[in-house]
Amino acid sequence: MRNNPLLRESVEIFFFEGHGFAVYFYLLIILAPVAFLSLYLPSLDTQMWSGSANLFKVCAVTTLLLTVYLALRVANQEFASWRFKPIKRWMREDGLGVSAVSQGQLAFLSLHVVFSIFLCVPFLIWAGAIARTPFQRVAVTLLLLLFYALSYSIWGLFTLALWERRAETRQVFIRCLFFCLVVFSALFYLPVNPVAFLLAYLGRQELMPLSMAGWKVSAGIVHVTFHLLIGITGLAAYRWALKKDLAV
Amino acid sequence: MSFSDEKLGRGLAPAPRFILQTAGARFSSAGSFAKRYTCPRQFHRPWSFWFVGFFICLFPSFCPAEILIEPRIGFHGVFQLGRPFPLEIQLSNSGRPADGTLEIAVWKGGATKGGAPYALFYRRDVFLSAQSRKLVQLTVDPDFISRPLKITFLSPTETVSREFDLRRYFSPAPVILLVSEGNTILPVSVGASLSSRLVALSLAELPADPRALLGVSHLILYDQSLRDFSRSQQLALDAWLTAGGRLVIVGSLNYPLYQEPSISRFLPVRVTGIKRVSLSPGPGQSERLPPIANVWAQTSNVVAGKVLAEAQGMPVIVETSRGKGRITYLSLDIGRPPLSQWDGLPRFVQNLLTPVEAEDLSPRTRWDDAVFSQLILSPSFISAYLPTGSLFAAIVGYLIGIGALAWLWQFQRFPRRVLVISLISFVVLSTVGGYLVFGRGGNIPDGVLLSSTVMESSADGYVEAQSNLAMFSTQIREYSLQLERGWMDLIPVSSSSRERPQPAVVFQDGSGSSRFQLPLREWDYRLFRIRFVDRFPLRAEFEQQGGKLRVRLSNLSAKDLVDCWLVAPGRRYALGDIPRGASWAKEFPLADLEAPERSPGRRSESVDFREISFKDKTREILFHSSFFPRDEASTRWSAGAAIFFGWVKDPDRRVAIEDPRIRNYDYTLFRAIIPLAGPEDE
Repeated sequence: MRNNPLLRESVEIFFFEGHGFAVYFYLLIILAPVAFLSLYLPSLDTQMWSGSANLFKVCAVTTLLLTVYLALRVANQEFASWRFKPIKRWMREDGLGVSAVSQGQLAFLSLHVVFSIFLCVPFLIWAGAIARTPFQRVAVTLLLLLFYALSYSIWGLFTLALWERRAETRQVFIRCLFFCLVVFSALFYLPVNPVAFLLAYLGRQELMPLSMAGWKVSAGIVHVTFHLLIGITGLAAYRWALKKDLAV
Repeated sequence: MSFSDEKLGRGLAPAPRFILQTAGARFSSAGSFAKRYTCPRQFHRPWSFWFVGFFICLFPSFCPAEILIEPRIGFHGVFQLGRPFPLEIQLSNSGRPADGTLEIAVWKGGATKGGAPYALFYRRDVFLSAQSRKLVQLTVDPDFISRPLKITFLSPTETVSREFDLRRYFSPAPVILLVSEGNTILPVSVGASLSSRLVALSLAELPADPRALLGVSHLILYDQSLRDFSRSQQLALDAWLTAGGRLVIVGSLNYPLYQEPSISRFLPVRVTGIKRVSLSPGPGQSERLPPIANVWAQTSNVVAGKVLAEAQGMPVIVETSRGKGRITYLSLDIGRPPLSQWDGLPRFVQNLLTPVEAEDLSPRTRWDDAVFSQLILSPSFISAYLPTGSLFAAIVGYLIGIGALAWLWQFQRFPRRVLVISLISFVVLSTVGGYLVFGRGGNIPDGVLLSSTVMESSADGYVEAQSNLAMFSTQIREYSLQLERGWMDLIPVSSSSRERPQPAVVFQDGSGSSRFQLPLREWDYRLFRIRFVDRFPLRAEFEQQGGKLRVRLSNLSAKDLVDCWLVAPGRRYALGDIPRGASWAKEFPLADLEAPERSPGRRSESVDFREISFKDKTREILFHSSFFPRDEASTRWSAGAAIFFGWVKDPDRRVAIEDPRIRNYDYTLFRAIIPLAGPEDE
C-alpha cells in the first residue's frame, strides 16, 4: 500500500507541500470557538441546565458535520485540485488498474479522516470531561464519527470518478448529498439522521423503532444498516464509475 | 371517656402495641424453631426440647429478635394539620442486639402544594442491645395525611415496619399546651371555652426541637419549675418564641419558683412575693380583670414590657415581646380559690389566650426556575462551576502548539519523523492532561450550593431569615445538606416541568440539627426555601418628621454590612459600608409625600429599585429578580415605604455541605421595610 502512487501523490500534496493544512485549519478554527462559547449558552431544560451539560454533544455534532463535509470535499479533490493527476492519466499513462486507484484513494481518504478526528480528539475529550460524559460514550462517539465520515465521503470519490472534468457538477452534487443525508434526512425518519442519532445516544434517549408490516426493528439497527448501505453502495458506485472511466 | 378528658388528649389511649415478627428472624419461638428445624430422631424426646429452650435462654444472641414499635404521635395524640409535630417512638427489643436505622416515611407535595406527591424519609441510626428499650424523638412534617405514615426499623438482619393512619390525630386549629407541675390548675376549666385543643404535658414531654412546636399557638406555664429543662428544650423554646410563639406564664402561690433564673429570664417582671388582693376592674377592663376579692397574686416589679392591667398598684397582666413572639405574665393564681371557683374563669382565660393574629409576613422573595435560569446565564456565575479560564487557555495553547508544529514542518527545521512523533505526543499529552484537569481534578466542583438569604429585622435583635437554596450538581451523587439550628421550614420549590421528584431523606440527631440527604443526577438541580429565626442585633429605627426621615442605625452584630442603601419614594441614598460596632443617626429628605396633589402626574409614592446596581452581577440578579421582584408582592414597598438594606459580609452559613468537592456561595441581605405615613394618615 505504501508504494501506491496515488496515495504517495496525495500525501505529498496534502502534507509535504502543505496544501491540505487549510482543511485542518478550518476544522480546528471552527471547532475551538464552538467548544468554548457553548459554555456561555446555558439554558434550563426540563430537568437540567444545558450549556455545560451539552458541551460534549455540541462538540461531537460540530465535529461530525465538519469531518463529514471536509472529507467529502477532500475526496472530491476540492483542495489543490490542480496539483492532482487526473484518474484517467493514472489509468492510461501509468497503467494502474481500478483496484490500485481505488485502494490508493480510499487509503488516503481514510488517513485524512483518521487524522482529522485525531486532531479533534483533545477538544472532544475535554468537553466530555467537563460535561461528565462517560468514557464509554466518548469512545463510541469517536467510532461513530469515523464511521460516518468514511461512509459519506466515499460518495465524494464517486463524484470525482464520474465527473472528473466537471468540477462544478461535482461540487453541487456533494453539497446536495451532504444536506440531504446529514440535515434533511431528519425530516423523513429521525433515526437515519446521524445528528439525531448521536444526540439521542449521548442523551440516553430511545429513538422510535421502525414499524413495517407488523414487525419492528430497533432504531439503532436501522441506523447502522442505513449507513452501511450508504457506504457499500457508495463504494460500489465508485468502482463502477472507475470501471466506466477505464472503458471510455 | 368524658368530653373533657378527650379535649385534653388524656383519654386517648396509647397506640395499641404491636409485636411484629421480624422478617429476617430464622425462628421466632421455640415452637417455630422445632417446626422449622429438621430434628434428628433423638431430639424428638421432651427433654431435648427443654434443653434447646434452656440453651436459647442462656444465649440471647440465638434468640429470635422481636422488635416492638410503639409510637406516640403529636402531643398526647394531637397535632395541627399542616404543621410539623413531634413523634416519639419507643423501640423495645426482646431478642438479640440489633444495630439498624429507624426510618419514618411521610408524604410531601401533592395537590395542595402544587406538585406530585413524593416520599420523605426521616432516619436515625439506632442500636438496640439485647432485651432493651429505646426512646427516639423526631419531628415529622407531612404535607398531607391521606397516605399513612410508615415506621420501619431496618437492620442487616431484621426489618420491622408498621403503618399508621394520621387522620385520627389531627386538629385543624393550633394546639395549646399546658405545663403544670402539680396539676393544681384544672385544665378542664381553662380549656372548656377554647376553640383549640388544650393538652396538658409534663415538662419532660416538651419537645427539644423548635419545629415540633410550630403547631402550638400558646404554651401555658403554671406553677412549674424549669430547673429540669434540658438545654435543647430551652433552645427549642427560645427559637419557637422568637419565631412567633406565645408563652403565657401564670403566677401561683409558690412564688419562689418564679424567682429561679430558668423561668425569670422569660418573665417581663421580677417576682418579689405574694399577697391577697381585691380586684376591681376599671372602666373598659371588665374582661381583663375579674371583680373578685382576696385573690392570691404575686407581687412584682416590671422589668420590661407593657402593663396591660394592674390592681392596687401592682402589675397583674404584663406583656412583652421576644422576637416575633410574645410573653404574657398573669400574676393571679387561677388554680386556687377563690379564682379557681369563679364561673367566669374560662372566659377570662380565653381572653388571655388571644388567638394568634395573622402573621405579618414580610414580602416573600421570588425563587423559581426563572430566577435560577438568570443566575446560570450570568457569565460571572458560570465560572463558579466551570473552568472557563482553564478551558480557554487549553484551547489557545493547543491551537498555538499545532500551528507551531505546522510551521516547523513547513520550514523543515527538524527531521519530519521527529515532528510526526512530536505531533502525536503533543495531541496525546494534551488529551490526557486536559482529561485529568477537567475530569478528575482541576476546578470543577461536583456541585454548587447557592444560598441567598434575606434577613428581615424582627424585634429585639432577632431576624427572620428567608433562605433560598439552589443545589446543583455536575455529577450523579448524593448531597448531604447540614441545616444549622434554628431552621423552621424547608420547602422544596416545585417545578411544573419536572418529573416526579426523587425521594429525599432527612437525618435527625438528638441535638435538633438535621441533615438533608438529596440524590441528584448529573447537571440536575433542586431549589428550596428555608426559614430561620436567628439573632442579628442590627437596629434600624426610622422616624418620619415632616418631610424628613430620621434614621438611627446601630450595628451590634458581628458582621459588617457593605453596599448599604436607603430607598424612599422618589429618593435613594447610597450609605456605603456599616462596619460592626458602628452606629449613627442621620436625616434624609423625603420626596413630596405630604402634597401629592401638588404634583398629580408624578409617581413619587413608589420605590424604584431599577437604577440600583452592584458590582457583583450575582448580587444584582438576586436583588432585582429574587429579593425585590417587580410583581404583586412588591405592593408593600411600592405603596409608600422606606427601605434600608445592606449586604452582610462573610455571612454565617445556615446550610452547608462539608465536602471539598462542593462549592458553597452565600449571599445575605439585611433589610428593614418601614411604611411611611401619607398625608391622609397624618
